[in-house]
Formats: sequence, structure tokens, C-alpha cells
Amino acid sequence: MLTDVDYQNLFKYGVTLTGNEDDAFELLQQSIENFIRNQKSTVDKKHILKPAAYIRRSIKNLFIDKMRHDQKFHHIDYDECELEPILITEDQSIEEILITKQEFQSCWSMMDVDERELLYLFAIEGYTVQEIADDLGVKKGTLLSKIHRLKARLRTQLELFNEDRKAI
Amino acid sequence: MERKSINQHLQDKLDGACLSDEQLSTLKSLQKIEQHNQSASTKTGVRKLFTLPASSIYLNGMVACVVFFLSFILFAQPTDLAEDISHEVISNHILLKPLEVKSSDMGTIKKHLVELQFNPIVSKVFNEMHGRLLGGRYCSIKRALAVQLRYDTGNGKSSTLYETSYHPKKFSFLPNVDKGEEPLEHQLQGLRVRLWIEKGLVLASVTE
Repeated sequence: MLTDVDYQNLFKYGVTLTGNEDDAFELLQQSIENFIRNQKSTVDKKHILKPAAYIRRSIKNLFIDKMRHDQKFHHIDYDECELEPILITEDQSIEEILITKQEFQSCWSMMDVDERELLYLFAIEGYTVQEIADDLGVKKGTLLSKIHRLKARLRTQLELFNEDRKAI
Repeated sequence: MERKSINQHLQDKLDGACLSDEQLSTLKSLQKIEQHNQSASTKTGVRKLFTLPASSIYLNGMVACVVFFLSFILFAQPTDLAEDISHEVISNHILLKPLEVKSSDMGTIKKHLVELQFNPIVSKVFNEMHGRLLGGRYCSIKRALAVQLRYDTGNGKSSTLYETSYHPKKFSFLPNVDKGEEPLEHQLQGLRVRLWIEKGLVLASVTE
């Protein structure tokens, strides 16, 4: 069903969301259990054809449930990105932003679950924008505006980070 | 300091995050365990009965089957339920999910696992002979919230004790040690499982 690489990537996905290997392993276990349990009963066979994608979705849902339970989660729906019209081009690559390790850590800490997931799909799975949109079930335009806003926020965060460092 | 793209930083960050061989084999074994549990649970259900063709040709046969299976279920349920519980606790035992609280002190464990709707006990049946208490975690038995207490028995082996609330509808068939009855015992998947009622709680132990 799943290859060793799939298991490792799903674990990395869990670590991306949780930031903790123990939590990631537990979420992965629960998600695989859910997948096996629902394998025969589910009506939507599309998900079953892509077990890794199904399990990844389950990991995210379980993680969000846990965050909600701990009251640490504030979800911004993808659709909300479309409220403000902005000029979006195809070339919304995050690759062009070059930063140091310290800057990365600062940016990483302020990213929400969706943004971390987005970066994971780019960096680890090597997906294109269209593939990510298909995987997440959102419109490509919505995703592009999400990336556009993420880049703008990263730039602001980097400026703040560097100003703080100069002040020190 | 070297500047890299965010993607490269994330790849570097996650390079160190890898499942150990033990974790990998645990995940791979999940499917086998789950499949086994599913086949065990279908023994007690009548769901499969309704998948039989509903044409009139089969009607008489179906009625006979219903009568036969209902009587079979009525008599066979406790044994199968005990086996289901045994498979469930074995699955929990083998998976060795991370402990929510690591302590050899029962009081500390109780203090942390606040969502339990019962007071975990120190069992007289499952006594300290089973090793050193390592800690506890939440789990479930037949969908009832339960606690798993893990013990280190030495030589790299462990045993686990499960405690959950007593529901007469679900667990009345289990022996009550407070009435002098002996725990129900199974040998499954190379493990010894015991089930019993003690001080108004349902307990299950798995030993290697």
C-alpha cells in the first residue's frame, strides 16, 4: 500500500505541522488506522486511490482537532483570500526569497498550518501550484493569492527581524 | 551566513526527521492488526446478513439464517466480545504509542490524566510482580475511554494494564475478582491476555 518513502514523507509532513516528532508519529499512527478502517466503508473511492494523500489529509484534520481542543487554532479559510482582489501572476514562486537559517526560523514560527503545509508540498513533495491546488481541492487563483500574501508577510517579517537584530 | 531559499531550509530542517526502523515496522504491522480486528469484529455483527440477495428465492433461507444467527449471536457474544477486547488491547500493547505521562508513581499519573471518568486503581491481580511502572496514556476499550499503564518487566519486555469504567451492557460477562472469580485468560498472537472486573472497573492485562 505505502512505500517506505511514503511513510517517511508522511512523517515529515507530521513534523512540519506539529514541530514535534513524538506528536507526528502519533498522528501518523492514528491516520493510518483511520485509513485502514475507512478503506472498505468509504463511498469516495478517489481518496483511496491515493492513500498517501488520504492519510496526509487525515493527519491535518487530526492535528487541527487537537489544536482546537487545546484552543490554539485560528483557521483562516482559503476562500477568505479571495475577498480582496489583487493582481496575481503565474510566477508566485517562494524560491526567490533567499534567507539565512535564523531568518528562516523566525519566519517559520509565525506561519500557520496552511502555510506550513503549502511549503511542505512545494519543498518535500515537489508539487507545482496546480498540483497543490488539486491536492487541497482549492482553485489555482486562490492558491496563488495565498502565496502572494505569504510572500508579502515573509518580507515584512524579515524586515522586522533584521531591524530587531540591528537594534541589538 | 549562508543564504538559501525557504524550500531548501525546510528540506534541511526535515532531513533529520526520519522514522526509526522500529517505528517503521510498527506502522507496517498496523495493517495486519487492523485487518485481524476487523475480521474478529464482524463475527459478532449481523451486518453481513443484510448483504445477502433480497430476492424472494432467498427469502426463506434468509429467515432461517436470521433465526440461526440471532441464536448464535445470543450465545456466542460474550466469547467473541472477550476476543474483540483482547485483540484491541493487544493492538494497543504492540503499538507502544508515546506515553502521555511518564512516572512510576500512580498518583502522578492520575493527576495528569484528568479526563478519565473513573479513578484508576492499583490492581491486586496485576501486582508489582509485573515490573516497574513506566507511565500512562489515554486509550479506549470498545469505544470507552480507558487508561493504559505500561510496565517494564526487564529484558526489553513490557506488560500493559488497561482500566476503564464498567458498563453492565458491555462487560457484565466478565468475571469479578471481588466475588472470588478468576480472570478470563487468552493466549493470542504470542501474548497472554487477562480480562476481569475489579473494584467496579474493567481491567485487561497483556503480558509477553
